[in-house]
This record gives sequence, structure tokens and C-alpha cells, in this order.
Amino acid sequence: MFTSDVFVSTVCALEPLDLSTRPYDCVAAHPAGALAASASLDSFIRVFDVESNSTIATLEAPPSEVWNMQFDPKGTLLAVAGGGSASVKLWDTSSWQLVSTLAVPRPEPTKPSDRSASGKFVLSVAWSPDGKRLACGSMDGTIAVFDVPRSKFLHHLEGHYMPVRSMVYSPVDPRILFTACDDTHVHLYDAEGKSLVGAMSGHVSWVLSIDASPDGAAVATGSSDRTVRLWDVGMRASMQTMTNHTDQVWGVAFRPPGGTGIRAGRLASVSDDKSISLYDYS
Amino acid sequence: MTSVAGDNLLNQLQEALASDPDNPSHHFNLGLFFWKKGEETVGEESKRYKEKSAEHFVASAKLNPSDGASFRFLGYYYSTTSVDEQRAAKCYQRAVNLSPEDFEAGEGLCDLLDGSGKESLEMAVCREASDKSPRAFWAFRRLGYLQVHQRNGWRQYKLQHAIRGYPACADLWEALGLSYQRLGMFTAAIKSYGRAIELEDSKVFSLIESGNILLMLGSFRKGIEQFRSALKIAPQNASAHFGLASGLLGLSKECASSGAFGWGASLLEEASEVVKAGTHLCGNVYSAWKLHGDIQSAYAKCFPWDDKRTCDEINEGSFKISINNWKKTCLFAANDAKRSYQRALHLAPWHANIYTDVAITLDLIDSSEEKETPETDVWQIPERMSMGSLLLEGVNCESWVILSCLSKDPALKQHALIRGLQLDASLSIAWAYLGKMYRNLGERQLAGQAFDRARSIDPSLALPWAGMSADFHEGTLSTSEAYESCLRAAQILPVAEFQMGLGKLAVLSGHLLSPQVFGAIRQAVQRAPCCPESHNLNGLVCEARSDYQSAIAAYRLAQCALKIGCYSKDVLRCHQADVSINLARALCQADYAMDAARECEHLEKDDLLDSSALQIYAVALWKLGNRDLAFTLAKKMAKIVSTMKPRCAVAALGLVCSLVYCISGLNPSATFLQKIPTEFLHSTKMSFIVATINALDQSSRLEMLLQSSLQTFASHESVAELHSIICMSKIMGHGSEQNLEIHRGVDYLKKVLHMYPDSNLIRNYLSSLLLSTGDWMASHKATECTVIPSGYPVKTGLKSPFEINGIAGVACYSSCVTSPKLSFPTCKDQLMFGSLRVHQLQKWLHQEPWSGEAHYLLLLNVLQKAREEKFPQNLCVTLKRLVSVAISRDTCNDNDLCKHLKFLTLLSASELSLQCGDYLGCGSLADNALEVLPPHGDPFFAHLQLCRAYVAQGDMEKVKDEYLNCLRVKTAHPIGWIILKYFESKFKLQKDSNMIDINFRSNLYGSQCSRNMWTAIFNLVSGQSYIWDQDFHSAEKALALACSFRDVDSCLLLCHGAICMELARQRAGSEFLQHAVTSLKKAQETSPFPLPIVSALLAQAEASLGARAKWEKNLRFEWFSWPPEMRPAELLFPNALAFQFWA
Repeated sequence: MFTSDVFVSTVCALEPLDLSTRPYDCVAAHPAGALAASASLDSFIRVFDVESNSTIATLEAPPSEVWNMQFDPKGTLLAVAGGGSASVKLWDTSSWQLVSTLAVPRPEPTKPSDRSASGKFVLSVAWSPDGKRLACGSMDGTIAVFDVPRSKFLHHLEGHYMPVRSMVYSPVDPRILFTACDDTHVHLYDAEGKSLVGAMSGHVSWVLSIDASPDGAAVATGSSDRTVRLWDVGMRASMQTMTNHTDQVWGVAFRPPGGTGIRAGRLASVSDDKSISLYDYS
Repeated sequence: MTSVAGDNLLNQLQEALASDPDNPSHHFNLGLFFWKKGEETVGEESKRYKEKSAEHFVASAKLNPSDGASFRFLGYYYSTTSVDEQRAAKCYQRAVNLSPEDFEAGEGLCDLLDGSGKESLEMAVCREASDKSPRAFWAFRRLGYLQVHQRNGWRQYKLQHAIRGYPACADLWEALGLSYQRLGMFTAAIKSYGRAIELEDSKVFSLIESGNILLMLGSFRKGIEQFRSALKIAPQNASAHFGLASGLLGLSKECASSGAFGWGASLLEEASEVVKAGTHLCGNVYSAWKLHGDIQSAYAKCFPWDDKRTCDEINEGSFKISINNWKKTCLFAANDAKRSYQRALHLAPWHANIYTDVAITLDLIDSSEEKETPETDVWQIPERMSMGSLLLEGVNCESWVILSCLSKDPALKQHALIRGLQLDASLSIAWAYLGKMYRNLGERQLAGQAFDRARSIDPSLALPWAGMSADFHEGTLSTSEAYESCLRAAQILPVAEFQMGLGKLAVLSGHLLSPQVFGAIRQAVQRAPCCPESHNLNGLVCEARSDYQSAIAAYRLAQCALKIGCYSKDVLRCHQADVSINLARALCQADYAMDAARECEHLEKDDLLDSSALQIYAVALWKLGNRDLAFTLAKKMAKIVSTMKPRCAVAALGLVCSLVYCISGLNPSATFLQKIPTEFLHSTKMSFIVATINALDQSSRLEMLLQSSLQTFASHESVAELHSIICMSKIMGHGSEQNLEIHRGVDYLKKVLHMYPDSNLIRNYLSSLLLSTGDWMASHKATECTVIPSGYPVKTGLKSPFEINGIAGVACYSSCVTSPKLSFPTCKDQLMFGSLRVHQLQKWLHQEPWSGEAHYLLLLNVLQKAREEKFPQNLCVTLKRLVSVAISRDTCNDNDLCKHLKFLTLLSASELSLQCGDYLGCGSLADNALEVLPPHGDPFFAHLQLCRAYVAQGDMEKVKDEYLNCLRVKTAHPIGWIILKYFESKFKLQKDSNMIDINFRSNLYGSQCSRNMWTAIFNLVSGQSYIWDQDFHSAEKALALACSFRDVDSCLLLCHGAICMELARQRAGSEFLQHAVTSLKKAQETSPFPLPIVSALLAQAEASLGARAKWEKNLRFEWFSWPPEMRPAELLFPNALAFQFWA
């Protein structure tokens, strides 16, 4: 829970993103912390050194195919998801070569007017903490789960009916997957048993981002209702709502596990109001 | 030590002793030497050395009785070489007394005492030493161990003190952990055990005990990890086996309580194997068998039914096999549990709770086998077992509650519960079951009171919440409150009964889309697959989510479940009708009209076709093209409307009206609507139908009905929607299909907006219509009118606010460039919104990356920006990517609109190639564009683009061909003709032809304002053409005409002023000077930003007319109308400039 002396500070006013020249889309940090990858609307993924900002590799994806990416927990693969090809591409982080493409099976066409039959649009991707599973969220609300070592599609997770924008596995259990969706709900899945085991409601608009606390007991969500919410997973309820942002919140992130001291319990959120907020919690 | 060195040392020591025989240290050193020699050797030799050393130690002790070390060695000697424990103990005792910190003597003494069983003496020694010196850590450690052994856990501070002396002693940490554990300080105990494991990773005891504590604290995952580690080290350790099994059982219960039955079952399978392995190691531990019973019983309650069949594979036979397999697995587990409990009972028949376990398991088996218990006075086995438990523990109130649950006799039930409550009046579970019993007996008031009491004692109990929600139809609760109450129950305890109740309440309260209901019903299907209700509710939930395939499969399963279940004939008939209607509806919605009609035929045969089924049947028939039968059914429905409930009646009437319109056309439907009683017309749905039919109906017969509907509406949203339909009727009312009267719609919506200024729907409609008017200022008005949402776009009308914003950006005719190096802005409004637009479009694209429209509009807006900034390289790179993305999007359907969008995208790509110098690419892309153009599309601009490409390539023959093509295909857009005119004049393509003029004039459309503006621009081009021909007089005339309209652009006025000045310079007449002054002054006034050159020319004209003050003033204006970095040098010297002009 957040302490009473929560400090909310605008760390830096981000430069207005001149999207016409380098349209921003998503960034992913390497687990070791030294590298990061950023992708833009021009479909180039730039891998760069965080300290020196020097480019390490530039990966070219097909047009409109990068909307979300994530390094695997060991940092050996970069999963890039997005686009109408309905697939996740895995890049090797040592050679920066494309090593595998995991395709999301399309549902059988049911009727001509069915929009979902025309194709899926993949929006989000998440690695399980053991690096064996990869979940991939789509525009129609379905989530595909893959077995990465065998490059095999396992099953779909059902329950959402709008675009799934963000997902995260519980850091303590590779079976538990948290998902954020435009239908305003946060779901808790048993990703192996393909069952919905919990749903948390409270946001009044799209839930755009989600992250799980290092102990897996809490999740934080950012929404286009301009709030950041902290949820207790055990209680399946919202514990606290932060309303300091003035525009939709596109990203939330807990400090990754491994730290000690006060910095261990820190949450950051980033919003369209061009600010990053940091919160201490205990 | 080498023998030579040893001999030397011995000689030295002996010499020293000989020189001073009374010195105790010489004796000690010699003793120590011999002791070491004794240690190095074995057998008799060793003994001989040690005897020698003992002699010297005795001598040393005699000479210096306060030297503890000599006594310690004597202790060693007596305890190991000449076995005399008493003497050894005395020597050690003396050593410890002299030096309490001497851990070797202390440990030796304690070992001796421990060996002879003198624990209290050992303790006294340690206590004495620890009292004497706080640094006697050995004593603290011994004392700690002894106290832990004697279960004096509260003295753990001894261990804490000892740890300061031995921080790396794993045993000590382990003992401290145990001590904390006994004190109930579990977190401290886990830390101590953790430290012990860190120091020595083979500490099985620490692993097991910390695992046990973690299980007790509910941290099953961590506990399981500890037990697994323990088992790796000691695979035969029974405690680790049972601990791991308990941990898995705990975790599985956690999973099952959140509805993850599959996960829970897989954990229980593992747990069962582990505990079985444990029972092989020690089969006579009753708790192990009880644990196995618990695991199997939990498995029987948690094992989920999982059906992987697709919709087509569902049939009664396979369903029955699947259910039987599932039941068999559950029953097998329950029987296994029973056997294990029985074994535990044999081993420990004095444990009352095992009787209860057996009783519960027997009841579970009976219910799984669906045995019909005979109505006899003889007590059933579960009841008897339960009584057995009560005989042993009559004061256990929970046993009474269990007896009541297992008993079939209402009197015994009540007695048992009341007995339980007598023992503990605040036993919430007893109150809850009392409520359930009263409810079953029909005593609703008493039931309510009991539930209320149970809920207030323990709000975390599920049964009272569920019980309260079941009584919603009594009027005490609204359906929403009942839903909330049942939701709580289902979340606390996910049992199928509560979940199905939740599903039913969700249908009634409109919560079918809720994810909680979705999860609950899916879980209910897993745990109650033989219950048709669970499948039926699953179908309803899927249907609410538009997942019709799953819904059809679920309804089919419900039908199968009905067939294999045991129901009375009437109940079966009723349920079958419900499920079949649902199935028919889902089939109809999934476009399986044939199957839906067949389902309805079955219903008709069984005489089960009610009003809702009739509606589905009619729609299915209409979809199949059987219009006559559909119409007959519609008529049948209309006849029985009066017998329906109002809500159903409105739905039926709406459908009938729609069918009448689709089958018979406009007039019969309008007549039908006129006949409907007015009370039905005031609903939202009917009002929309009335408005739509009225919009299509030229004679406005339904105008009165519509007006009365408008007055009765309360919701602003519905009114706004109705007004937007009326607006459509205004547009279509008097226009033909090709010529819609959009301005009438705009006028109407403007009035409506005054009434509902906060309605985003009206704003969006108005903006969309404004953009369709072709008005010169429409884009600005549309931008101002619409509100960009953040987050949820609700109802957006014809176009979303983002689309309007994007379209307005490219629909504006003005230049909004912000950099004065490139051009000058001519429109204030556009400048305000222009910079925001691209950002907003990108925001939209980020929100909806799948949106082709967003991408397309972003491309056009960036192209516009690039055009204004003269195609800078960075924008060209971005544009190229955007274009390649837009072209590669294959989600486009084959409809005309998509083809047209592709056509325009290719033209944009062609323009980009042209600007980047790739003239061949430009031509080929324009050719591609022509290929994708839909049959009724406008190819003019593709030919025009080809014209430009050939001009760039210098191929004038082809330019002429394309020019003729343009003339041939024609366009409805004035701008096309204007550009063609420009080409014609510039490249002298055709002389003395007024075809372009004629076509241009016939195509002018829109408001007066835009017509004037187009004409003005056309005249500008004509003027330009005359200038190329050096015919300045005609050019002046054309431009004068262009400037004669209202609200003319300042640039046109500047051109006219310039040409007049030129004519004046050629001494064509002084009146031109006056014309120039008029035009330039007007340009100065109308331009939103100071336009360069205007003032300079004006200054020149004023000077020519002899107005010196005006000349100076205008020169100053000119100076400031240039941006500082671009001011021409000539302006620095106005006099020189003036002189130059006069000359």
C-alpha cells in the first residue's frame, strides 16, 4: 500500500515527441539494464546502449508490424508483436537475427460479416518469468499462449472482448497472467489451465497498461480515464487510485526485483500529459 | 616436525627445565611437546608420550595452580588416555573455573557430563561459566541447546548470545529457529532457519521446519520449494513428503477457491503421488492416511470437466461418454479418500474428526452416484459416522453443524443446528445453514433473519450472501442488489450452485457482459457439466459477447444434458423449449438461418412456438428468402401483441414493422405504424423506427407521431440520436440521390445544437455534414464544432471526431505553414489547429493501430505538411514509410470505397516520387492508381498526375495525350479544371479552346462563398496565362474580376495590385495606379499576417501619387512585415529605394 507521504513528482517534462519525423511507438528494456529497444511507426527497431545512447543494432520489421516488444527474462530473445500478420517475431539478441516467428492461429471464418474473421491485429506480448511461455494479446480480445522452446501455439485465453493492450505474468508464478483491456477490466488468468480465475473492475475507460509488483501480490494499471490504480491480487480489489495525471496513462512499471532499500518499492507511470510520476509504496 | 628438529627442541626444553626446575612454564612446555608427540604417534608409543606429558602437566599445575591450560590437558589425558572420568571431570572443572572462556575445557566437561547423563550438572556448569563471563560463548551455546532440548524456548536469548561467538555455526541458527518457532515467532524462525540453510545447504531439519511454518502462514509456494529442496537432500524423509503433499494441497485449495480447477487438480495429482510415497516409508502414521484422504477428497471436488469438442462434434452419445468419464474420475477419487480415511480411523480411532471426514466422503460418494436414499427410519451411514464423532467430542459445535448437513431428517437437522448454536451462539455457519433449512421449509422470514445474523457475524461466509440473493423476487432486494450479493457469494466460494444463481441474476439485471459472470459460468460448466442450466447460461454469456459459435455449442450441450438428465415430463418440455429458442436465436445471429428455421420448426411441431420464438422464426425465414411465410408470421405476431408484456410487445412490433418494410416496402410499413397504439410508439426503439420510416417517406405522414415521440423522451442521448435521424430526413427529403440537400441538414442540426450544446453526437453529425458541404470555411467550422475525446469514444455519428479532425486538416484550402522561410500563412484558424492535427492523428493511430482510416488520414496530413514545407527530406522519408505501410495493408475489402482509398494512396505515392525526383516511378504509380480505380471512380486526377510526370520527363507528346484524356474523362472537382487550365496555358497545349472554361463553370457547386473563391482562382490562372502571353491588360481584367468577390484571399489582391503597378509602369494609364492602391490596401487589411511586398508596392504607388507620408509609413510596414532574418537589404535604404522607383 502506498505510504501517506507518497511523493508524486514530475521528473522531467518530456520533449514533445515530433512524431512526424520519428513517430514513437514502444520501448523495451533488457533485463540486464544496459540495453533498450525502441520502435517507431516507421517500423524500425533501434537497439541502443542506455548509457551512451549509441545504436547497437537496427532491425527492420515489415511495415506496421511493431506495436509491442519485450525481452525475455534471460535477455537472449526479443519478442516483437504487432500488426495484421498476427504473429510474434523472436530476434536473437546476440546476433540480432530473426530466429523464429510464432503465428497466432486465426479463427475459422464463421460468416462474411464477422469482423474478427478477417484477421487479428496483435497488440501486446508478455514473457513468463521462466521464459518458456509467451502470451500475445489481440485486438479482438483473445490471448494466444505459446510454448517458446517448442515454437508451438498452445491455446487461446478467452474473456476479453475488446483490444488487449497490455499483459504481464506474475513474477512469482509462471502460470498467472494479468491482462489489461479496453473493456475496462483487468483479468487474472491461469494461463496453463486456460481459465479466467479473477477479474477486477474499477476503471471507467480503457486500461492501457499493467505491471505486477515484484512479489506478485499487487498490480498497477494505467488507464485512459487518466488514473493509475493499485490492485490487491488476493482481495481482487482496487486499493488506491492516483489521479495526478491530466491525460491518459500509457505506461506503468514497478521497479524490477533485486533492489534493496526504499527504491525497492517504487512505481512509475507515464502519461500523454508528457510527465512521468514516481510513487513510493510499502 | 622432523625428528632432528624435534630432538633439538626436546633437548632445549629439557635443558631449560634442568636449569630452572621450579618454573611451571618449563614443565608445561615440555608437557605440551610430549602431548603433541603423542598425538602424532599411535598405539603404545602414543600412550607413553601422553603419560610423560601428563607428568609434566601435573608438575606444572602443582607449581602454578591458577593455570587453567594444564588442567585442561590433564582433562584430555584422563578422559581419553587413562580413562578416569571423575578425574577428567575434576580437571576440566578446575580449568573452567580458572578460565570460563576456555571452550575446549568447557566442551570437554559438558561432553563428559552429557555422556554420563548428568544433564542438570552440565546445565549448572554452563550457567556458572556464562554468569562468570559473557564471552563464554560455548556455555551459552550448550545452555541454548539444553534449553531447546528441554523445550525452554523462552530462553532463546542464550542462543542469540552464543551466535555472537559462533556466527557461522549452522546448528546454532537451526536451534535458534526452533526456539523462535516454539515461541510462535514465525518470521524470526524462518529467518533463522534460512541463515542455517545458507550456511549449510544440507540442513534438512531447517528446510522442513521452515516449510512447515510457511505452510502455516499460507505461503504455500515458498513452503513447497523448501520441501522440494529437503527431498532432494533426503529422498527418504517422510516429513518432507508429507510437508510437500500438505503444501500442494494448500496451494490447490487456493487455486480451487479462485476457480482454477484444472490447476488445482494437477497439483492434487502430484500431492497424491507424493503422499503415497510417504506412506510407503511409514505406513502406520494415521495423519499420513488422513492427508491422503484429504487430497483425494479435494480432488473429487475439484476435478474439472473439460470438453474440447467443436460445435459440429457435439452429440448426445459423446457427451454422455464424456460426462461418465468425468464422474468416474471424481467417484474414484472419493472412494480412494474413503479408504484412506478408514485406514486412518483404524490407526487412531480416538480422533473424532476422522469420523466426520468419513461421513462427509460417504455423503459425497452418495451424491456423485445419485443414489436415491430410501425413506426409512434407519439412519444412513454418513449420519451414523457423524454421530460417532459427536460421541467422542460432544462439545464440538462444528460437528453438530456437519451432522445437520448430512442428515436427511428435518427434525434432526434443526436439532443439530440448535445444539450447535447452544454451544456457540456466534457460530455463523450454523446460522447460515439454519437459514438454508428454513428456506427449504418455506419459512422465508425466518430464513432471512438467520442469514442476516450469519452475515453480520461473519461477512466472509458465502452461504448467507447467496441465501439473501435468492430471495430477490420477494421484493426485499432489487435485481441489482441480489446480483451484487450473489456475486460476493460466488467470489468467496466458487461452487456451481452460486455461480449458476449469479448467471441467472446477471440475465435479469443486465450484467451478462461482466467478466466476473463470464468466469463464474465457465467454472460452473467445469464443475456441473451434467446440469443443462450451466450450459444454457454459458450460451447466454457467449451470445452477449457476440461469440455466437460458442453460444451455439453451449446450447447444443445444454440440449444433450437435458436428454441424459432425469426430469419430469413437464419440466423437461419447458427447459427444452427455452434452450431451443436460445439456440435458434444464436443460429440466426450467426447467419445459420437454415438451422435456426429448422429449430423453430421443431418447436412449432411440439407446440412450443411462443412470441419470442415466432420473432426468430420470422427473421430466419426472411433471411432464407421465404418472404411469404415470414410475412404471415409477422401478421400472426401483430395479432398477439396485445397479449404480450409491454417490453416484449414493443420488440415484436419493431420487428414486425421492419419485416413489413423489408418485404412489402415503405407505404405498408408507414400505414402499419399509423395503426399502432400510441403508447407503444413512445419507446426509444419504436421512435427510431418511426423517424427512419418518416425520413424515407416523402409524404411525411408520420411527422405528427414523431413530434409526439420527441416530447416524451427523457434521455438526452436518445433525443440526440433521434434528431440526427430527423436531420437525415431533412437532407434526403427533397433532394435526389445524387444531390442531397446537405445545407438543410446543417441548418437543422445548428438549431438542435442550441438545445443540446453538450451533445457530442450532434456535434459530430454537424461536423461531418459541414465537411460534406464543400464550403470554403467548412473545415474550420467542423474542427471548432467537434470535441476530441480522451478515452472511450461513445456514439460518434457518421464520423469519429478523430476522422473529422484529420479530414479537416486536408480539406482546408489555406496554407498554414509556420516557417516564414517557405511561405506565409493566409488563414488564422488553420494555423491554430494545424500543428495539433498531426499529433492528434498520431494519438489516434496509437490508440487504434489497426485503423486503416487513421493511417490514411495521417498520411494525407503529413503529405499536406510536406507540401507546405516544400517536401523536406525528413518528411519525405517518413512519408515513404507511411505510404509503403498504407499500400501493404491487405485488410482492405474489395468494396469501392477501399479501392478508392487505395487509388488516392497510390496518387499520393506518385506525388511523393515526383517531388523526390523519381519521375518514372511517379508515372508508373499513377498508372497503378488507374488500374485499381473502381468502375465509377474519377480517373481525372490520375491522368493529371501522369501529365505532370511527363512534363517532368520532358515528353510533350505524352503530356498532350494525357491532357486530352483529362478533357475526355472530365471531373466534378473545380480544382481539377483549374490545374488543367494552368497546364494548358503553360505548355500551350491547345489554343482557342474554351472547353475547360465551360466544364469548370458547369461544375461549380457548394455555397456562394466557395463558388466565388473557385471562380477567383480560375481567373487568377487565366490572368497568369495572359501574363505569359504578355497581354497585361487582359490579365488585369481577369484579376480584377477575381478580386471583385467578397472575402477574397489577400494573395489575389496582391497579384492584382502588382499587375496594375506594372501597367502603370508601362504608362498605360494613371487609373491603374489608383486600382493598385485600392487592391493593395485591401490586401493589407484582409491578410491575417503582414504580407511582404504588399506594403512596398503600396509605398511605391502612394509615392507615384505624391503622398510622401503614406510612402514612408508603408515602407516602415514593409520593413516589419518581413521576418528579421529575411529582411531584404534594399529596405535598409528607403531613400535609395525611392530613388530607384522614381527613376
